[in-house]
Formats: sequence, C-alpha cells, structure tokens
Amino acid sequence: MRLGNHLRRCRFEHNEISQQALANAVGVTRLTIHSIEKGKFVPSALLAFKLARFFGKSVEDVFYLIDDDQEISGEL
Amino acid sequence: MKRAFSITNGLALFFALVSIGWLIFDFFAFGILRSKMRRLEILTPADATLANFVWLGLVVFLLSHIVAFIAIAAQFQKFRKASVLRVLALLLSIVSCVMILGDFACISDIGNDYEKGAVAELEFRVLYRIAEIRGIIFFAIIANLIEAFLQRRKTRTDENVIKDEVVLTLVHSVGVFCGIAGLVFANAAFVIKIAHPLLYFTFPFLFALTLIPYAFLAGYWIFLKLKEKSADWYDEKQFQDISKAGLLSMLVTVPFLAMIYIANYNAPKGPIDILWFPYYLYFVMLVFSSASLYFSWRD
Repeated sequence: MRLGNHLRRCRFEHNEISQQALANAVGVTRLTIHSIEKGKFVPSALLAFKLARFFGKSVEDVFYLIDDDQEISGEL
Repeated sequence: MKRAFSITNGLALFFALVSIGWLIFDFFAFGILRSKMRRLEILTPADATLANFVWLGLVVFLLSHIVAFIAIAAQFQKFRKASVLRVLALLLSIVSCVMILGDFACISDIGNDYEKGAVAELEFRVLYRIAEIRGIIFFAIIANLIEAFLQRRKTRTDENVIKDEVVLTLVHSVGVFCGIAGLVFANAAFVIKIAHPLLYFTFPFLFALTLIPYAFLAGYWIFLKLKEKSADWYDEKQFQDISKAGLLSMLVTVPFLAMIYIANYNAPKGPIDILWFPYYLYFVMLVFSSASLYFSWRD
C-alpha cells in the first residue's frame, strides 16, 4: 500500500503557488515538497496535516491510499 | 542574506586582488633571491625580509581561499543554481589551497639547500609554475565574483527561502571531492613511506589542507543554522536521508577499517602505520557525502 496525493492539483488551484512558497509555508525544503509530489517520500502525519491546512482542505482531500495492485491513473 | 552575500563576496574580491598583487611581488622576490642564491651571495637583512614576505604570502593565499569558499557558498545559497564559472572557481580554489603545501615544501628546500651551499634550481622552477597556475586560478575566482555581482543586479526579485538545502548539498559535494583527494593522498603517502620515509612526514600538512574546504563550508552551514533550534536543522526528508547515509557509512566503513586492522595486525610499524586515520576519515567523508547526495536526489 502506498500514499498518493493531489499536491500538484492543490498548488494549481491555489494560484499556481510554487513549490518553494509551499515549502516556506510548511517549514520544509523545496526538495521535500518535490519528493512528496512525485510520491517518492511519505510525509509524517504532522506535515500532511500542515499541507492540508495550508490548502484549507482535510487530509483525505489531499492524500489517499493506493493499493499495491491498483494502477495510478487518476492523479496522472 | 543580502548582507552575507555582499560581505563575503566583497571580502573575497578584496583578498583575491591582494593575492594577485602578492603573486606579482612573489615573482620579483623570486627573481632577486634566485639570482643571489645562484651566485651563492650572502643574503642581506633586506633579502631576509623579502623572503619573510614570501612566507607571509602563503598565509594570505590560504585566507583568500577560505573567504572564497564561503563566498561561493553564499552564491549558491542566493542563486540556487550552479554556473560553470562558479563550480570551476570552487574546484580550482580547492586545488590551489592544497598547492600551498607545494610552495611550503619548495621554499623550505630552497632555504635548506642554500644553507648547505647548493642552489635549488628545480624548486625555483616549480615555485614559478605554481605561481603561474595560482595566478590563473585567482583570475577565475575574480571572474566568478564579478559574474555573481552582475547576476545579483539582474535577479532582484528572487524568492525568499525559509528552509534551505543548497548549502548542505554544496557541503556534501565538496565532501565527495575532498574525500577522493584525501584517499589519493593517503595512497600516495603509503607508496612514499616505502620509497622516501622522510618525505612521508609532509603528508599531515597535506591532509590538513585537504580538510580545509570541507571544514569551512561545513562551518558556514553550522553558522547559518545557529539561529535555529538544533531540532529544526533538517526537515523530515533531510533527516531521513542523513540517517540512511549514516547507516550506510557505518555498514561500509566498518569492514573497511577491519581490513586495515587486519593488514596492520602483524606489521604495526609497516607502511599503513598511522595512515589508518586519514584512510578512515576520507573514506567516511566520501561515503557519507556521496550517500547523502544520492538519497536526496534519488527520492
């Protein structure tokens, strides 16, 4: 089971905010945001909540679970 | 941030210009001293003062390179990308810093030979070549500093960065370079200890000079982090990357050190002798830095 996310879409809907600006808002580096977006790094619960709060959404609206046998399609 | 950039780059430019001036002085001083030494004339107090200023020049060059390391780190931090000139200035600066040992050895040899009534022609020729190479390196550093000042004017609307990864990445990159250089020197010391036991004792200076770029860049990074709580020095991904790199370093370097231990077991005064420390230090530096870079770029 893996963690998917809608971060890219959320950034787009949030006036196309840059990765750096988002990183500044939640107190991480730009590389961390980039890795989360790419699905290569799984954020802690605290960071996930911070990101969701920044976009004014619930955590489930930003992050979702992907079963191992499930294709990643919706997000891409 | 703006002040750090202006101060470090301004200082680096000042020191680079002073160093160029000092190099020109060195050429004149070498010429005067060489002609007198060739004729085996007794050196006057004025000549001794000239020689002392040549020695002092080595300290100025060292300071100049240290300031240049920090200035280049501040450039990376500000512009957040590498230019060819910036990377070149950094690498050449490291090379020139290590070359100070060459000056040191040549000047010492010249003095020793003169006391014995001989002329160290070869050492003078090496000194001239080193000075020429160093001149080119200082021009490259100055070109980089001027480029940075011009670039700063063009990029006034740069985005503010709260949590930075650029300086840490630079520290790791220099760690890889210095780690490789240190291992090359450790191997050279291993060979030279067998062939020329006396020369071998110059290597601690070489090892110390190889550490300087890494130590000052790491020191700059720590200086930047001092205003934060230690728990905030890394974000969670950086912490994960560093942890993985630390674990990998331990897994790789402990067997490496065990190999050195076994090789040294029956010959404690053999060729490896005290070289276990530089071998271990630079190997750890190389593995830890390259693993940190790999994990931060891969994920």
